Amino acid sequence: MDRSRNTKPIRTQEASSIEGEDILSVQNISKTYKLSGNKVTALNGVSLQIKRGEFVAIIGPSGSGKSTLLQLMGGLDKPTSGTIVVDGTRLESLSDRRLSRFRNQTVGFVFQFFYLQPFLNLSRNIEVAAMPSRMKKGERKKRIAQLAQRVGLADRLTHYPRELSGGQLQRAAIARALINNPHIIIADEPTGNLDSQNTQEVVDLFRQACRELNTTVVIATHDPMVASKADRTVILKDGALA
Amino acid sequence: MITLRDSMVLAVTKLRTRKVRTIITILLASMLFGLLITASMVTTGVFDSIDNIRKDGLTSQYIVTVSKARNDPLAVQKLLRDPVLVDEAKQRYTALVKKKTSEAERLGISYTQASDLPPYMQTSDDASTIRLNINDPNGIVYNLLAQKYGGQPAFNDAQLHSIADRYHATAFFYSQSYSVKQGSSLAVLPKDGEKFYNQTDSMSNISSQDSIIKSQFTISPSNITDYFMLPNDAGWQPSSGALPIILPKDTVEQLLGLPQLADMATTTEKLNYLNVLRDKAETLTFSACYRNSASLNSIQQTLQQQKEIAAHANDATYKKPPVIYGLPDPFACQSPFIKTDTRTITEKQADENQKQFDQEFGKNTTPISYFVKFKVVGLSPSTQEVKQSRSLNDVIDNLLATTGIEQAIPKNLYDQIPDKSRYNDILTYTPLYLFGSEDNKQRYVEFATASDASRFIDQQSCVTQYDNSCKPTGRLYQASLAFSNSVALDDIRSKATSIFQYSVVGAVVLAVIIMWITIGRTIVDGRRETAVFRAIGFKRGDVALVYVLYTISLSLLIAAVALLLGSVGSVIVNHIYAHELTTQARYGFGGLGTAKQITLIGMNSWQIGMVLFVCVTAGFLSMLPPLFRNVRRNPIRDMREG
Repeated sequence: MDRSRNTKPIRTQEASSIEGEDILSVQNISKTYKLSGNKVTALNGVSLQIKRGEFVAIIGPSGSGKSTLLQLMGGLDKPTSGTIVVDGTRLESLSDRRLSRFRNQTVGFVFQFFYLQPFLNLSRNIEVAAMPSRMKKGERKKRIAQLAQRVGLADRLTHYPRELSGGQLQRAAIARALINNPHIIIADEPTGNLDSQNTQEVVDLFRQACRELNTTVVIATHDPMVASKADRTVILKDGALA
Repeated sequence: MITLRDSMVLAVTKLRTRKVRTIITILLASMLFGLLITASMVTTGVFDSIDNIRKDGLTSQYIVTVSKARNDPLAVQKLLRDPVLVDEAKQRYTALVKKKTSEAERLGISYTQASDLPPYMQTSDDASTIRLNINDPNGIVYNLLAQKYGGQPAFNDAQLHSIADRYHATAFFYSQSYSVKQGSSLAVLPKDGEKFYNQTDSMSNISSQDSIIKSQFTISPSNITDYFMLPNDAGWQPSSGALPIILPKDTVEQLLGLPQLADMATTTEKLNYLNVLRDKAETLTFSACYRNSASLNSIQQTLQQQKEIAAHANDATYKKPPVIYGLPDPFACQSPFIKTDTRTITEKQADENQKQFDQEFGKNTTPISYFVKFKVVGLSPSTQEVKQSRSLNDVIDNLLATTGIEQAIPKNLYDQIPDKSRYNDILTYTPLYLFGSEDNKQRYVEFATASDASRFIDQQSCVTQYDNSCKPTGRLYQASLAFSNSVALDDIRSKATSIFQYSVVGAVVLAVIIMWITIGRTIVDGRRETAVFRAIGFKRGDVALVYVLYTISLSLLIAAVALLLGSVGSVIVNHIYAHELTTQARYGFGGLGTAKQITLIGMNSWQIGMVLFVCVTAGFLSMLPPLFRNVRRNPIRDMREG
């Protein structure tokens, strides 16, 4: 698969991307929310390093802070304290515009509920993530075809989400996450709504991305089978690494 | 930043979500704006059509009639009580009586001062005060006033021009009023002559027979008369011996013997009737019988004589008058003739002497009667046309109607008549010399705009009060709008435009509410989608652009449907009402034979543009607050809650 990028990745001065080295570094991060006036600590002093091409599973009970950790890693939210460096980029120093660009080009998101647009066909749904990168039309078509082939949906590109099964929808979501050729895929309970066969297919796709594209995959899951397929498992409990 | 094309792709998908809500919104909002567009097209069509038709009539002109203001309500009273004038009148009266007495003695006829009313009388409010009698039969007062004031013009035209020019007057013209010689009559002879004489037993009844045509005439310039002329002046020729005349429709009806139309006749019936009337009027020539006072007196005496003889038919002692008169042929316009004359030579001589005496002192004793031929060359609105309205049609008729023309002789045609002396008896004017040397001119000033005409009236004219004074004092003129409701029509148009503008504001409020619900809800419903977009790298501006394009698309869709509905609406309204309104307008404007149509479809680009602009603006107003809130929200929370 082509790893070339159509836009420059966002990098900081002090860090650079080196094969085998950490692509993601979480240093002593904490996250607290205010919920109904009460202070809730979702993460408390978590530190974690993840290498390029590594498949990491984050497991832990509900409310342990898995999703919060993924959101902070993906630049969807900012930690109350601590530092996150992704592919050499310190996320807390980015403006909203640059953070958007980071999410678009460095990270690919896969969600439990797929979040595909019901009135766009599969091709368009995959294409949506390429829109902010201003990828050229011809290249988009080419990449959509390649990704659809890779996720086994080449014959479904003109179909609408309502015409697809859960497994197909999640595979489409993975294709969407991969269209910009991200360094990291962050997947939050991607198999939570899938049966075992589809779960297996989805995990295989993640593994394939790690292997063939050297993409780092960080996945939050409750499923031991999924966790067992990861290179490494990180356990979270009460907002801290166990 | 995502491309415009990509944003458009996503915006269009938004239109496909919540289809029922979107369709209802499009229908409601477009019906609202469509209604405004229909209103705009219909009112524009109506007013443009009316303007177009108005060009053929006086309703397109802003004409003001101007006369001199009478600031002192007691001026005439003071003039007639002037002791110097009263003394002079007394002296002249004394001299006249002395001369008449002397002449009566010479002719051997009887004369007493009591038969001659003096030129002065006691005032009603103070018996000790004497004032001149304006109706003095010997003309002493008239001559006195003519000598004193005849040299003073009653109206300063140069001053009027100067003042009116300040209000951008575009034309000055006047019509001249004339009447049949005092004491005379001009009557269209009735078809049933026998009945006429049978029912007529007094002077007043004979005079009243001139009611078909009035004994007053106006010679009017083409500025006024052109709009009422029949085609080709109805074939009138200067040498035809007929006086060209514009008559009110109801007068022509009477002359033609046509039955009057019922008040509640439909407009179509009215217009058809009017067309028939116009066709028949084009060939209408009629004669009216002129009789001077001597002729009228002799008819009255003859009637009285016949009545007296009939009353004594069985009285053997009754002695018939020595001269018995016979009534003339009722269709011949002649004076009574002598049937039998049993006077002695002495009696005849006495009558001759009396006649000589009367003629010497200005009394008209020779009966004169002759036909005056008229040719109808134009039709003016009926004299009773402006009346209390019973229906909306009547209101429109009254609004559109031209008034104040009535019986007029077109000056341009009159000037072509080679021998005008034949009309000396019916086109007379006698000034009273009460306010200088009055003339018979009714002055008109035409202005370029309704506003100029109104300003002239407001700033230069006074209004007659209950005590005959004119206020505000010091104003030179009494002025009012003449002939038409042109200013009112303009005002209605202006008000309609204002109402339309207020309606637009009302519609905006309603539309914003409707669109707020849809666009606002769509944006709120799209929070999770917005959050996903944000998660996969859309900037706030990218999300905003999608919603802006969605709003523009929705608004343009509403605008397009509104334009379609508005156009269809005006076509329907036009189909239903245009024919009736055309008939109404033609009738209201006097049925001038115009082929112009009222159409209820008119394009006011500014108004329609404003409606469409408002439509898009309403969409934006509805979009901004929820969008502003949406893009500032935390996408994680929205994904979780969505």
